[in-house]
Amino acid sequence: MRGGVGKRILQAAALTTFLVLFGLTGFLFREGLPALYKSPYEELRFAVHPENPISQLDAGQVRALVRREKKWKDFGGPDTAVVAVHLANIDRYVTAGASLHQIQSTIDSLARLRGVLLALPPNLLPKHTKPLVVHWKGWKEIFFSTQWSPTYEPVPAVGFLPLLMGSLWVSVIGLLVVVPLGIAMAVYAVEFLPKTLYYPVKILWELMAGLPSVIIGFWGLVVVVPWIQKVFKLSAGETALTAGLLLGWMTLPLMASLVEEALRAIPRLLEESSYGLGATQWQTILRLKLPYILPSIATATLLAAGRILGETMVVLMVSGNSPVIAWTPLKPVRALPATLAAELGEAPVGSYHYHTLFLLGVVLFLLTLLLNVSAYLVRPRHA
Amino acid sequence: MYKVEARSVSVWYGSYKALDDVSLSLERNQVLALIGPSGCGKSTFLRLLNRMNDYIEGFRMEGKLLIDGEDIYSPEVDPVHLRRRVGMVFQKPTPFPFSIYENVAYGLRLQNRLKESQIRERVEQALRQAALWDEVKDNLKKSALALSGGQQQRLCIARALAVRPSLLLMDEPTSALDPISTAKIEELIHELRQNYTIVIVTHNMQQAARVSDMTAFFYMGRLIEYGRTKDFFTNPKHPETLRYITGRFG
Amino acid sequence: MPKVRKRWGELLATLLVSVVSWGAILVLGGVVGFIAYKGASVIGWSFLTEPMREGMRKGGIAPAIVGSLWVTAVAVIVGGFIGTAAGAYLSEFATNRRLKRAIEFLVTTLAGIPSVVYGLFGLALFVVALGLGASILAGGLTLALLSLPLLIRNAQEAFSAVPASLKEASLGLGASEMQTFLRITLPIALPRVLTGLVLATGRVLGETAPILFTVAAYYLPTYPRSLFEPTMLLPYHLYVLITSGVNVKETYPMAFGTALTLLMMSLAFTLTAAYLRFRLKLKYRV
Repeated sequence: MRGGVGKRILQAAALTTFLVLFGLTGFLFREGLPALYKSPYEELRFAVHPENPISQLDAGQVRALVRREKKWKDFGGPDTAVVAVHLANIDRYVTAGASLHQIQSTIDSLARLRGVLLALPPNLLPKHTKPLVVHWKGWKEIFFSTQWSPTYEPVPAVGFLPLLMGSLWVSVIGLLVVVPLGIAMAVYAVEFLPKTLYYPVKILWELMAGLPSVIIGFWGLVVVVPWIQKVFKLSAGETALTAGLLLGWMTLPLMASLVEEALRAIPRLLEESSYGLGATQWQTILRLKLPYILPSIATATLLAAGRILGETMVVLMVSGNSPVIAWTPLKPVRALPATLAAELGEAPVGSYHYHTLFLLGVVLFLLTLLLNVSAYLVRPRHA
Repeated sequence: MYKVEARSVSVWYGSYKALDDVSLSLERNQVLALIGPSGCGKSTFLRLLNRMNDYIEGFRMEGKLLIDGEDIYSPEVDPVHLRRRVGMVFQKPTPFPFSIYENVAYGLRLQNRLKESQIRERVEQALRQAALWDEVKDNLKKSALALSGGQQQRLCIARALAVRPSLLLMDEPTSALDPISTAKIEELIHELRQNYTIVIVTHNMQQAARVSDMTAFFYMGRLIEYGRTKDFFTNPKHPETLRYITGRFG
Repeated sequence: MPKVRKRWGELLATLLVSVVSWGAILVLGGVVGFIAYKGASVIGWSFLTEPMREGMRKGGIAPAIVGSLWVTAVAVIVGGFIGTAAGAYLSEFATNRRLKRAIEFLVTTLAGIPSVVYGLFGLALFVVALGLGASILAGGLTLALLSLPLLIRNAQEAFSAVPASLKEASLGLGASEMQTFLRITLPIALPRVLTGLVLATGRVLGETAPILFTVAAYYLPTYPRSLFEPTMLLPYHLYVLITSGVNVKETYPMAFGTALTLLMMSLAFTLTAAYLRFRLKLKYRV
């Protein structure tokens, strides 16, 4: 074969795309999968007072005890208050600057309380206590728990559901904005926009698409958030609605240009056939053109959904970031990508939190991949 | 009163003059064939009759064009209403990507006045008129795109007939079809002339001779010769016409 | 025959789509106008050329500008070379149709992956596995990967737009495929390729999510001395100013100044690209 070295180099460059996708997939899974089989408190030992009849609990029950949402009695234990002792709250019992010896003796005396719940590294655990087995349910904790509180001590909550729900809210609202308005913009550009204004408008679309998202987020924070707060009389304007509106708006150029392209590809004779039967311009648009480009609209919608689902900064800045399942769009929510952006910087490399966030990245990656591949599959074939 | 009457019609696209001082008149229930080489203005003339040229940039017209004695370019005339009286069939079949039934019903639904039962009736009637009913009556829900080329073109004719025009325009309706489908369409034109006036553009001289009562020969934007088809092909008056029909150019 | 009548429904629908179209553009004007209005009084020579002082409440933003330029340069140079080469291969040399279609599908797929996921990948690969740490190189390479799909597609279109007749004429004179590419196709396609690079520069400059974990420093008011150091960057600096300042109101003027600087730099590239594309369109009528 002719071509030699130069051609080889170009081919290698093209093949890096394989490398990128495989590398990306590989590293995401490599860092993410440990979250499924590891436990977040491998270095800790749990223990209770020897007279406490409880010998095993699951992670959610321990969390409830520490939060004082439940009492020992609820799980068949003694009728005493829960005294949780773990690394994050030990400072409540010792004065600042205490020596390790002082800390150990404080722990030892706390361990004599009948309601004690200890969660400590093995070397700090007092002798005369009864071990407590805490079950970590692995992937069930991740996919079925409705709480997200990944740094909660001693037992974190890593349920993806509130985050998925948050992403769902902003995506649905974003799509409700971008699909009808994007189609309207495309129809306007093709049917009604004066020719002399066409290029200026297209350039404005491009500017819109090129706005850094952090700037849109900033503007949203200073302008849209207070506005939403006032209009709906809320205590805070950072809501799923705020994020959805901004995401919808920023995706308009993508949606509009895809639909515009499809509208322009409609054969002229088909359009004339409709006019020839006595259809008006809008009858032709609504009864022929939009039904005709339905596959393209579906493709565009899926691509827009992927873009909205993956958008990070705007959501991070205006959605309120509250990892609680919301039942109305006027509540703050936290979406998948925003969670990654907010927390990954603070999660130590290799920690359980770090693996959980990568697993969250895997979920986000697979969801957007699904949307994009579906967009590819439903695309119109003749175009 | 003539069905169609053109009085010194000229057309420009920008600075290009596409039709130059064309006058002709056509009786009711006749078939008029427009012939001539590519770019001679025959399609332009056809598209004048349902104001399809209105959308072309730089289009300008002078002269008068009457249908049923009414000036269709007068400012009071609504082109949308005009097109409901003047049906059109194009050089390629243009089925919409809907079912056979919905294709024929398309024009009927635009007017919003008919009940579904009436629409059903008119769809059947139109399909029968277009000699397609027997072939499709069992699967009206099937996509129109699944039909053969000839069937698609008859579907387009049915679609145009369903809105009950009195004048039917056909722009080279058989140019994309095989000989058998072409024969079927020509047969159809014969049937339809009992109820309709038809103007047909064709490249095919034999077709013009077979289907039309009147023939008009256009050349470089001018109407060179116009007369009864019988005389036209046997005894052309103009040397250019003779040269064209004997195949020396075009 | 019925006379012409106004179709009010049609007019209303037309009005509606016009209002939507111009409304969306008006919002763009609102964003740009608001930031320009609030930021203009902040920006000055010292703001652009001096480092931050007193936490980040005072002083300028020069280290963030320099950092952004460094990272963007790494991304566009690396991404530009790989993207252009890959585009050339797809357009000119790919003989295996299935391989070509597979790569094109991959490019489409990569284009749809969220930027924050590229950030995770950059963290895992460049920062941790390759041991680059949070550094200009790690951030730049992450952004290079992110912009690859855009650059490949643009380059492929640029090379494909070169008339086949010119390529054939060159081949007919006995030039090899590679000679034809280097002497005919590449020079003719170059303006379009560069336009794509300018567009990508604008995009890369404003990206925030991928740099969060790969290069961005929270507060580091010095200029980077090598590619292996972390640095401040405009988008992240803006994010920090508005979300994690001790007294957010106090840092708002700084935020508006930073936002306007970033906006102007990014718009400058996007507008240049749009203008170049418009010129090319007029020139070649394609």
